[in-house]
Parts: sequence; structure tokens; C-alpha cells
Amino acid sequence: MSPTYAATPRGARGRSLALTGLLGPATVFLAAVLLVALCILLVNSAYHFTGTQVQPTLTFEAYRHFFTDPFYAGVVWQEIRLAVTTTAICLVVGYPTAYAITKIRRPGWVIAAYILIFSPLLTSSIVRAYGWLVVLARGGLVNWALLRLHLVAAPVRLLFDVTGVTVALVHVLLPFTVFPILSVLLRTDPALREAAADLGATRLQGFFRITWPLSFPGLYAAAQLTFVLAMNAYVTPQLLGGGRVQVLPLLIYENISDLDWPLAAVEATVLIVLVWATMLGSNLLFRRRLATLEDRR
Amino acid sequence: MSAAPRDPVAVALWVFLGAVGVYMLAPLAFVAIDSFNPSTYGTFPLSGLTLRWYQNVLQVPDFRIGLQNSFLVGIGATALALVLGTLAAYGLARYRFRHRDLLRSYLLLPIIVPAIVFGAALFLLYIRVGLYGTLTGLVLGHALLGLPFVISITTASLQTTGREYEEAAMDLGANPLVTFFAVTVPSIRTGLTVSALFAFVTSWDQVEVSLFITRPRNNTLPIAMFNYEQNYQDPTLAAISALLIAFAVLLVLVAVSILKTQEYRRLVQRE
Repeated sequence: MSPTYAATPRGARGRSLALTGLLGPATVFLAAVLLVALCILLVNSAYHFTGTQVQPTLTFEAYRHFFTDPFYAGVVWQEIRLAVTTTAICLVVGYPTAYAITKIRRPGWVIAAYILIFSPLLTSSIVRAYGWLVVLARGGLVNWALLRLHLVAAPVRLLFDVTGVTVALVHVLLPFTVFPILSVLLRTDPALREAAADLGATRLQGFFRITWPLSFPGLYAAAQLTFVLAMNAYVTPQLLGGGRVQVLPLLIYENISDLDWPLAAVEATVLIVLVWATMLGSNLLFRRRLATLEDRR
Repeated sequence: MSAAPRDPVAVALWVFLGAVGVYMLAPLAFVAIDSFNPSTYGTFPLSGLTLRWYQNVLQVPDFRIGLQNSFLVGIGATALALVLGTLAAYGLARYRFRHRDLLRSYLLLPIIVPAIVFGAALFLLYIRVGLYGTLTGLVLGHALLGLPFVISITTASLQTTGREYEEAAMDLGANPLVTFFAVTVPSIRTGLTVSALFAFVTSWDQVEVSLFITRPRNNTLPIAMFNYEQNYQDPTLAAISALLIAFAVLLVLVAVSILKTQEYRRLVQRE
């Protein structure tokens, strides 16, 4: 394929010039902004913080502080638990949602379902957090309904702890869970299910023997994306956690504001490593799983 | 949903989908309702209707400045991401070269860097180079976040449109620049529109990065709202949120009308 443009009169030099002109600007831009900024962050993680300011002397005290104080282990643990819970709920809700959408016949309803699931993506997480504040407040809709139905005697506290954060985070991330599953399900050849039915498989068998295994790549992509986004969430735990939900993104902002940049840089590094290790690890796991699936065929 | 009218599986799926729909819409719907709530604490049910929170929106200077900044930054970041991203996408889609996959992964890097980490890093960079608290700094940061969307969407759309017409134009004597604007751009119009929409929304809703690189009193709208939500929590926020939801609905309608002719028809015919 490469000779397509190399074959023009300008030849190989023109081609490499064109490539530089096309890809150079984005490459340099990314390096100048993202890579330089990340390097400065990494360097700051090894600086000394006097308690009022940062001094550019090389130490590893911020790392030592982070890894020896059990408070930070607790934060990481709470964050992982929150991300796992959120991902699990998103998958349990998201899979049937995606499946149901593929079963809709009427085009108008398909559009309605798409808008319902994906349009919240267009509103910021701040708007959605405020929405949950209204719905889950002491005098809010859910408590009003619970009281009217005599399910509770006094308003329940739903906000400002892990419950509220999880409810809102699932709401923020569900579109990201549904989308990969939906696109894989849409690509599955319906003829396979029909063939299974013709051969006498029940609908349940057809689902578990055909649709479910074929949708596995989508499920995996959805799980990975949802987990990573949950680990990185800042707005939702900040606005709905009421200080009871401590996660790394909150600490990073707090420490930058308190001028303890080395500690913030260490927390940022830990967050990146956690997220990238999860992605890499699950990629490897998935590749092995896919290989065994191939073997069985 | 299914051929049989009372198929229990189909009914269950419908009910489930309906419940999910209610869950997805509930917070947005109640934001809209709460914006007319006379009670400062957002109690339910409403004791009457008022428009005073909408009037209040106009009186909070932070919101006015924020709205203006968000528009400027959104447009600047979209333009920058679109130019850099389309050039890069063209190079990735139309040329074969060594390490192409590596370069592509590199260009998509902003997706896998947590925004909060990027924000902290950008803050440390900007205070050194004097970009802290500037609109230029915001435009650069937001453009970087939009870039991967532009590149991946535009690359995909370039790959689905063949290069035959480009070659025909070149054979007929058009230079590469003319070919690009007269042939390539019109054929990837949908991809470019969607890219621009993604880039703009990314900037418009951005919180985590902006938080670090804006100055107090000179914020973007989401940051102004974020601060207001932490300090006041009265329905003024509902009013401005309702206005933003209306704006988002408008964006959806624009997107649907653009995509309807192509993508949607394909999706529906699949099932």
C-alpha cells in the first residue's frame, strides 16, 4: 500500500515531507504539553516539602510518607472497592440494557433508547451530581416517596457517604458500559442464533451458547473502561461524598491546594500506575482467555 | 420487540429498559423541576413556582464570566484539536510507515492519562511558563483532551471512504491541497462534525483539568458551578443546569439530524 503516494513524481522525499507536515504538529503539541507536564510532575514527586513550600532537593520522603502511613492504604482500598462495586453494578445493569436495545424493532424506539441512555453524556457531571443532590436529599424525592409509602418513619440519609456516590457514579458511567457491549451485540450475526434455533436449541441455550460468549469482548472492554473511569472520578465523590469518601483524585487536588506538591505528585503517580497496571493486566488476561476460546473451537 | 405480543422475556426486557430510562432521566428531570422551586433547600414536593433562580443566574458575575470563558475556550480548543487531529488522522489513514501503530497509540495517550493527574501536571507546568490562569492555557489543555477523539473518529471515517476519488483528482492535475479540501473534506464531513461535537463537549464539560489552571473569579462555567455548589446549594444551580440541559438537548437534536441519514439507518437495518 505504501507506494500509493511514493509513486508520485515527488517521490520518497515528498512523502516524508508530507508525513512530517501531517503528523508533526500533533506529535510536537502532545510532547510539549502532556509529556513535559508529566515529567515535571514526576520530578516534583521527589522534591522536599518544608511544610510551607517546595524545595528542589532530591528526596524520597513523599514516597516514604505515602507508603508507610496506613491512611493512604485505606484511601487506595476505599477507591478500589468503590470502582469495583460501580463496575459490577454497571455491568449487571448495562448488559441487559444493551441486549434490550438490540431487540427493539421500531426505529423510533431505537432512537428514543439511544437518547435516553447516551444523552446524559452531554451534561456535565456537576449537573448530574446536583440532580442526585435534589433526588436523594433529606427533603428530596426518594425520601418523600419512602415516607408516603410508610416504608420509613423518618427521612433516611442517602447522601454524603458511599451509597450516594455509587448511585451517582453508576449514572455517570453507565453509558460507557452500555456502548461497547451494544456495539459488539450489534455486530453479532443474527443468523447464528437462527441456526441454533433451527437445530433445536431453546432460547436460553441460544443465548448462553451463542450470544453470551460472542459478546465477551464487549463485556470485557466495558468492564475495563468503567473501572478506569471510576478510579479517576473526582467530581462525584467530591460533591456527593461529604468528606466521607476519600479517593486519590480528591487527595491530589487537596494537596496541590495545600502546596504539598511532592505528595500530590506521588499520589498522581500511584493513580496512573494503578490504572495502567489494571489495563495492562486485564489485556493480558483477556488475550489468554480469548486464546482458550479459540482453542475450544 | 418480539413477534409474540405477550412474550414474557420481551415484556421483562421492556420493563427493565423503562426502569433504566427512568433512572437515567430522573436526576436531569428533577433538576429542571427544582429550578422552579421556591424553597431554598430544594424540598419536594414544590410549594409553588418561581422564576427567581433564573433571575439569580444573571446576577452571579461568576456565571456570566464563566459562560463567556467557556464559549471562547470551547471554540478555541475545538478549532485547534480539529486542525491538528485531522492532519494527523490523514497521515495515519492514508500512509503506511514504520511505527505507525506506535505513533497512533502515542497520539491517543491523553485518553488513558487520568484527567485529574493531567490537571495537576499542567498546573505545575503552567506556573513555570506563565500560562496559569490564562485562556490560552485552557485552550491548550482542552484541545489536548479533545485531540484523541478527533483523531480516532476522523481516522475511522477516512478509512471507510476510499481514496479512489482523491487519486482521480490528483490524476486530473489537482495538487494535494486542492484535493484535500475539494475531495477529502466533503467526503468525511460527518466524521468531522461528530469530532467537532465531541471536542466541544469535552471542553464545555471539563472540570478536573480546568480546576487546576483557572484563577478564582476568572473561571469556566463548570468551575463556577462547582464552586457555587460547594458553597451555596440553592436552586440557582438548578436553573443554570436546566439551561445547560436545554443546550445539550439542542446539541443532541443537531447530532441526530446530521447522523440520521447515514449511521442511524445502518444501525437500525442491522438488528
